[in-house]
Amino acid sequence: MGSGRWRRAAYGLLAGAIALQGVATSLSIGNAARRLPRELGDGFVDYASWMDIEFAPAAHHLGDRGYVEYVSDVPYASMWADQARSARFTLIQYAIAPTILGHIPLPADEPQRQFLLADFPDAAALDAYLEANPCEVRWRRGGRALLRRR
Amino acid sequence: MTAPLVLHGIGPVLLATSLVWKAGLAPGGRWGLGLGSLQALALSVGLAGFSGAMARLAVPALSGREWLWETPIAVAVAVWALRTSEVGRLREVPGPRGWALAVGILLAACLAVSLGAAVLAIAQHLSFYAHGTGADSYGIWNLKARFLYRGGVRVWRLFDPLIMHSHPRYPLLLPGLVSRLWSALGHETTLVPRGLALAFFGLVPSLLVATLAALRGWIIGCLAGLGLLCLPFFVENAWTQGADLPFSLFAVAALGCLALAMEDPRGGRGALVLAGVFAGLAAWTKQEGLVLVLASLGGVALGSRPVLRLGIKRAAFVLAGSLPLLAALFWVEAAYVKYRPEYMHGGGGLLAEKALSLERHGQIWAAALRFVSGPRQWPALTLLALVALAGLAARRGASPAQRPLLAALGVVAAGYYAAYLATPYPLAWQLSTSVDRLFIQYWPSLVLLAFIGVPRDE
Repeated sequence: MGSGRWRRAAYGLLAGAIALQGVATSLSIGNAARRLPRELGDGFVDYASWMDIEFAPAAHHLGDRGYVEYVSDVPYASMWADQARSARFTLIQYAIAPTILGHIPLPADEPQRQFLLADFPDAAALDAYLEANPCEVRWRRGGRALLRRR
Repeated sequence: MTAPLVLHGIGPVLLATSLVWKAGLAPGGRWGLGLGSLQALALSVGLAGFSGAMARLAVPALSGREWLWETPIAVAVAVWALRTSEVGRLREVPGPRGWALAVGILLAACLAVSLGAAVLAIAQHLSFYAHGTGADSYGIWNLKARFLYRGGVRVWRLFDPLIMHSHPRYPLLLPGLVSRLWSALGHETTLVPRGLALAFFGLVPSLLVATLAALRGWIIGCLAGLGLLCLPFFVENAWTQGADLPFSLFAVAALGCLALAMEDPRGGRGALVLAGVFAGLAAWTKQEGLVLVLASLGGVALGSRPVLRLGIKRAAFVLAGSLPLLAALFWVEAAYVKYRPEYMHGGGGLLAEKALSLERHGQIWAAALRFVSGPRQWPALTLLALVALAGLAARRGASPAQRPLLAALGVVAAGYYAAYLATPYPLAWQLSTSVDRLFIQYWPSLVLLAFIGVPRDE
């Protein structure tokens, strides 16, 4: 009987510790989330617009038109490793792919402007898009890509 | 909007419910409404993602209309399940009474508070960081979803080695699910991957609690749920929108089904098949799922006595469940992926050299020890180890599910160890970016294993 009581007491303590740790962990995560900084500042167009221009033909065209400022000395690998800036990765990746990463072998039957899948079948479609959604794209040193309303 | 959502939902839900019903987990069946519904929900989500991706790859011209062939198959399976299922019943776990009831209510309240805080924190992150907080969400999973959704007849570009950073070989359950929901809604929205991240997070503790509640009672179920939430980055992983947490759902569902089958006096053949299906869905979520399939087979074979007569027979049921999903996975590989597996670079000689490198073994052990002793991990891991020890000390009512689960997780550990040894990427980088995520994949299963050893009445 005696050992049974001790065993139950030990189980009770263990259960209590699990309950406390579980609640404390979640509450501390919840509390930290209250002070979470917003990633995007004022002036950003919503992410959906970002995603629409992420594919390379569009980005390449944007570069030709001077919408995108390429910073050719930012090494690709450092952006990959930098998790803090990773939110901009996809756009940057596609924006630089045809230019800075021009050494990537493209398939012979795939002209560069059709690199990957694009929502914009040609430059005119992209121009029309930009006409309807005035915006300015800048890629700054440090890997930050911004799409701002004009 | 409602009609396409219903059309997209009816096939997976009907198919999943039929399979769960047939396995005996149905409402009013062997294992009760709570567990049956959650198993069916997890299975529906998995089948919807699998079917969404497969349909877009098999018949790209009909992208977004997978319900055309899915619904008739689901209806046929439902009729078969209704006509052939047998009603049985697992030994019922008596509900808590007296002081135990008070403890149970207190623990349930703790679990509710804990889950509520976690869900609010995840929702806050998902609202501020719409595309997730890690590169994998938008660089891999949601990127693939956009290819599936927008691709049509050009969907093959998804596998283009030009976008090697997105790992074209990765399986497509999660992107399939996202793109399918976009099809149902009629447009792309980040609400879908965000909603799915929250849903997957909610399903994991729910399924774990329900499985243990069915086998060990509500007190143990609630304690396991709280034990799961003791690990901070299990919660934090939800807002990355990665595939590790969805993987952990299918892993704990598969191993939970193995446990249910082992404790079923009638043999639990249906649950074994279901375990195979869940393991197959894990293989469709991440490549590591192939290890889970092997682990489920190995676990059930090695954990049964006698191994040759009973173990292999049980493993055959698990294999039957995962075989269709594996066949589909290999078809995608053969039809679309046109480059060699990364792990084969350098050939067998290099692999042997890596396997014999003491430095690599040392690096892996050091990373594992660093992880286990990390300040944010050790409280959860210590408590779990104590639970496992308490189960061993009690001895009474040793669970027939313990050995298969232990064997399965042993196979998983061995598989991951071998993968680290053979990795074509720099080992230090690979370890630093993946040990925690791999741990998350099996954290719910480890909690299941620890608590399954605790006798019912403790």
